[in-house]
Amino acid sequence: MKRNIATLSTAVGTVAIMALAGCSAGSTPTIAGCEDGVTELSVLRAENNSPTDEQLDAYTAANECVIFTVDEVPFGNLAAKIAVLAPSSNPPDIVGFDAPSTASYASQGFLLPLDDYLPDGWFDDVTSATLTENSWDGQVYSPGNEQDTLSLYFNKELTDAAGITPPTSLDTAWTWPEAQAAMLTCQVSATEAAGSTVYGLAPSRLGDGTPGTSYRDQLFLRSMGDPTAPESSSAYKTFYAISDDGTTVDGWLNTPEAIEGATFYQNLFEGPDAVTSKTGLPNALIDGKACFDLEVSSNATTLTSAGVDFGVSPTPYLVTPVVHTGAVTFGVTARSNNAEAAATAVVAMDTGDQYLEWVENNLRIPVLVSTTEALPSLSEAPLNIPVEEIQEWGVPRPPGPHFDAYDLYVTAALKNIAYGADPKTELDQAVAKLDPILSK
Amino acid sequence: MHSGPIDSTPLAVRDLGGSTSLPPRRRSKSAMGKGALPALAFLTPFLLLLLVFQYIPLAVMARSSVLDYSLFNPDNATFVGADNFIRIFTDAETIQSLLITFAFILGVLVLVVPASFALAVFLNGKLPARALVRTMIFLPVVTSSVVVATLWTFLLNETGLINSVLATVGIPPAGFLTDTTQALPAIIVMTVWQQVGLATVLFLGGLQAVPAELSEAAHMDGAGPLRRTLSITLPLLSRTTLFIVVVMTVFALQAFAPAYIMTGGAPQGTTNLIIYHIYKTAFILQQPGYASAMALVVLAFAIIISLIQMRLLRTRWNY
Repeated sequence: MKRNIATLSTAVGTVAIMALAGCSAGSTPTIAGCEDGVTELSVLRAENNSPTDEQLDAYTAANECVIFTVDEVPFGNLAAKIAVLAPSSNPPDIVGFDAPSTASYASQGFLLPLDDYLPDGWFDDVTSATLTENSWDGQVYSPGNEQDTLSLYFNKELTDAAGITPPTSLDTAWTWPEAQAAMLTCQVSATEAAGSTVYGLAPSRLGDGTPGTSYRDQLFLRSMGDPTAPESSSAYKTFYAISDDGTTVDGWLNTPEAIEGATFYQNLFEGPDAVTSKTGLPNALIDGKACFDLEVSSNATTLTSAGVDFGVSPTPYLVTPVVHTGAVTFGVTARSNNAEAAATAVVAMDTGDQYLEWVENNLRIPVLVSTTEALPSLSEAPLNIPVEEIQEWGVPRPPGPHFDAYDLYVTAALKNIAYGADPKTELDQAVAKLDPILSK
Repeated sequence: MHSGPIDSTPLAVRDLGGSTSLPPRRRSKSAMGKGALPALAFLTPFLLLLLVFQYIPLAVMARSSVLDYSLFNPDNATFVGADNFIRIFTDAETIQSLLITFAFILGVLVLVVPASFALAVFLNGKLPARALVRTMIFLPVVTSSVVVATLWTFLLNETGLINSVLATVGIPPAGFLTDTTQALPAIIVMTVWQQVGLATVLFLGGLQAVPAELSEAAHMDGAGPLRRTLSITLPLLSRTTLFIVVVMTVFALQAFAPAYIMTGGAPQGTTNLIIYHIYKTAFILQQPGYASAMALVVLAFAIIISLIQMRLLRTRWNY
């Protein structure tokens, strides 16, 4: 009997020890010179995104008593990971996230307002698109790390062979019909030369690698609108794509103009003038499998590294030139146990000399006007086009506390339209699904 | 099936030595008590893990299913009673997802069961390199679903390998993953390719356990190969078949990777499998209460479908 009890005790004890070991926190290391102890900040970020190791290391180099532990997930899983960690007793101190989600996270109390930590003059220096995206209810939740937008990259070897000279300034930008005609010409020319399919426009690499991602493809709808039209007009509503108070998309997302834009968008995938594929084709521009590609500014670095002779043209438009702004940013969780230290670190990484150095080293588009002016490379090719687009055409994606739902249903509708579904039906269905959520 | 010279076979089979004919061994109460404590000791860690990672989450999910809240603010949950369950059967998107999932399960079963049986019969013969073929068939089973889904995405893309092959014979590219009539069949075929190996191995095990003398006796009585298969092999494999049907149903009901990786539920929701729909509802739409209710309904469906299958396919013969 005693032996049995001993066996049972051992088994239960082992489980208890394992459980305790699994739940116990690791000890914080000690560093000489840190009399007040070392502050260890936990970071959750998307892979290959900010805050990068370079940024964290630079901060630790300047503040040796602050160290970071990093947990990273693929970008596609970031929102789900944040949602799971949000209510936990030990959320990360610093969290990377997609800027358009700011309102969603802030409105639910997940993020810490950072207004008190921002340096003097910051509000005069930050770009308006960044301030809009990273704020909620009059408070700033992230200083913003970088700006980004889409531009039309082209393979010069293929466009030259087809006799096409794309515009390289905003005032000569193509309309989409002009761009489509050029893409079709290049597609025919390059396909004949290669003996295999070369697309006029590269299949989207954004989102899940298939058509529809709202960041890129909703531009076809919004571009049919006009922000200068009367506020009650359909053209005005088409441009903004969500009501001013964010509670409805009926009459904003499914306007006649939006449907016309969606129909044009569909023609890029179907019919005699189709210039792109419904399914993904990674690295199409690099591999000479596409003449043009709508991509973010980091594409310039990728193409340069791959040795591709490329050029950058402004994003084409239908009625009104428009590009979506926004990029991955980072902030501080409201329930962080080290909120003060985390907020100080976040602001330091996004402002001042450390920020200038990071932007310069990594060829990113800054969120601060002063940083943009300090870097001559931003007014030269290839970054001058996206920088100018952001300044002159940039608008945030339709902001609001339900951005994730908005993005989900708009992307699904656009994907179905690309695959051949009726544009009006799809946009009406998206409205029917979204309105109950937005009005909540 | 019950007429002809082999009608008495099941009874004869039952007498061949199943454990049911042996008298139960009596064990003394003290002996049982002596073994119970060590058994409990060895089972306790597993039972604790089962409790912590299976039953407690299930209870939490059941509780969530009657609440309305967001993952960011679980403390602000409001009690909504059966509203989430009622919504399941009034929400067109969820109803479509459930119907699509049932069609997916049916498609997988209709293809996996006969294909795996045929492969098992093939492998049960005297083949050269039998072990190699068996390994090849089983390999997709042990390959990650994510890898399989990615592989098949490249195969089925507009510019993928299959369309390239079709193009060489002048057939225009098919929208395997983008056409509303082809996307669901495409992911069914992929799932069958991945799961058929497991079912084949199970059928093969069953086939090898069927006493050879029964088939030989039927052969001597004049039964041909088809007759022997229908009247002897298949009835005797009913337990194996039941197991395969139930396992494949549960696998298909749990399928997530095809929708998540290959199609995103498109086109027009025709591949929006229920687990993927639950995932989107919980983590993107921030409606974990509704997602929990759907998960409970799916669990109930899994149990009901399995019970129906066990009832319909219940075995009448032992050997």
